[in-house]
Amino acid sequence: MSFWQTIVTLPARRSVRVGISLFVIAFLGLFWTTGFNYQRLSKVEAASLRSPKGAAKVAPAVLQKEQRQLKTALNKKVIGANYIVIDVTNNRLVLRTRDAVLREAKCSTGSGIRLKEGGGKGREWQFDTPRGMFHVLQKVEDPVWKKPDWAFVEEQEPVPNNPNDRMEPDMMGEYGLHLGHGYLIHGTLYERLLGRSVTHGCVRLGRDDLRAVYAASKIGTPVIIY
Amino acid sequence: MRRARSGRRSSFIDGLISLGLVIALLGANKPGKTPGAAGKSSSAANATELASANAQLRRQLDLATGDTFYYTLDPVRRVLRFMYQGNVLFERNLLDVEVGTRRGFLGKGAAPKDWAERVWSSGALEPPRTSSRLELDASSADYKTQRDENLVPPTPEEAYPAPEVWWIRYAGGMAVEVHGVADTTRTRPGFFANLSQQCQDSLKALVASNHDAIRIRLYLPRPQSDMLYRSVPPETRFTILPVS
Repeated sequence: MSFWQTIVTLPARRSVRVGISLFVIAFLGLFWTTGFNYQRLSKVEAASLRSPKGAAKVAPAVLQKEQRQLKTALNKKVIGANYIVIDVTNNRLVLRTRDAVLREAKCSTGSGIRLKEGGGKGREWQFDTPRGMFHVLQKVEDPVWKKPDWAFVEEQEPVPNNPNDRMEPDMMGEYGLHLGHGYLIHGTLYERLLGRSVTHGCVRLGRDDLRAVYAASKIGTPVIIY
Repeated sequence: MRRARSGRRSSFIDGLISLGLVIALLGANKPGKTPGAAGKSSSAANATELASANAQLRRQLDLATGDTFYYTLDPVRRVLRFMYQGNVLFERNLLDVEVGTRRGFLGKGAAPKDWAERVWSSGALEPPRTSSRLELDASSADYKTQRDENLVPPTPEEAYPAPEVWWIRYAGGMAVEVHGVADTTRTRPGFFANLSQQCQDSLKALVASNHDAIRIRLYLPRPQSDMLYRSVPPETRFTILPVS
């Protein structure tokens, strides 16, 4: 006896057959009413693009003028020169123009660590790289790190009163690009950590990438961080 | 006799010339050249096309003026762009793009009619990237041990492993579903694979807490899909570029 014959003859009682039929119908009904109909987007979207209400009543000349104005407004938003894009989760920096990627590099961004000073002082710091639109405000060769208070707290050292005791040369590589609020794109002594989130908020780059980014940037170059 | 013949011939030639002129005039007066019913309809079609393009430009301008990160999808070129204030941050070539419209029961849960013309907003990643922020107290006894343990943090791949399929869910039941595929020569699934996929979708839709009304499915090579998953910021927006 074949499989199908077994299936047909097994429910000998009429009520069982009716039950099975109802179950199959219910299953198919559920299937057809809960799922999705998939198709290529280009076809659907072309069909679904409808004209805005009252469009035909407006003279084409008026619409063409409006279109020119909209395109001009949109083009004003677009950066015409080089700009820098930083992905803080993937730790990737891209130097690009509107149409082309000029250089892609591994970088290091903020660790996300929250440091508490403790001892009743109540100060705390959060080491995140901020997101949004920034600009290169200053370009520096051989930058010297002026250690902030948290750098001493982190090392459990007393915060010095003499500003000269805060100066740390050779820590930030050959170049520094200031983005404001104490954030920079700079070099690092720890290139093996590139690609990991280890910084206090700055963006670290390897030597060759830093040279290329520094050469391709000028004061005002936009830096978009996400 | 000759004159009569030549007269007949000349009148025949005159007839031909006038017939030619009539045809030429008719040709010159073809519909569309002068204001007529057909002319009106072509002008209306032109206005409709322009108005539609302007609406799309207004949406793009609205996105570019805001302070949120957003995606634009070009379904014809199969390109997904990630943008901020009108500038491209990155673009990904997609292997395939599909749209799934919810079947729904008697139209219940169906997508809004203008889904393709809307700006989708309040995008939330699912499953979300969870990261526990490390807190260090410099005055605590085990501070140095804790600090030294975290000197080399995990790589992004280790910290945020990306699933094979993930979503960005937007307000109003609209979602982008991203599939990371190992086979970059992906072709359309066969009948049985498609049926199996549909059954799985139906069962998932039954038990899902999020009931999408419309779902854009993007297929990307797995490494790109993983990287995209890790890069999605909170509260993104999304729009589909028109077919032009």
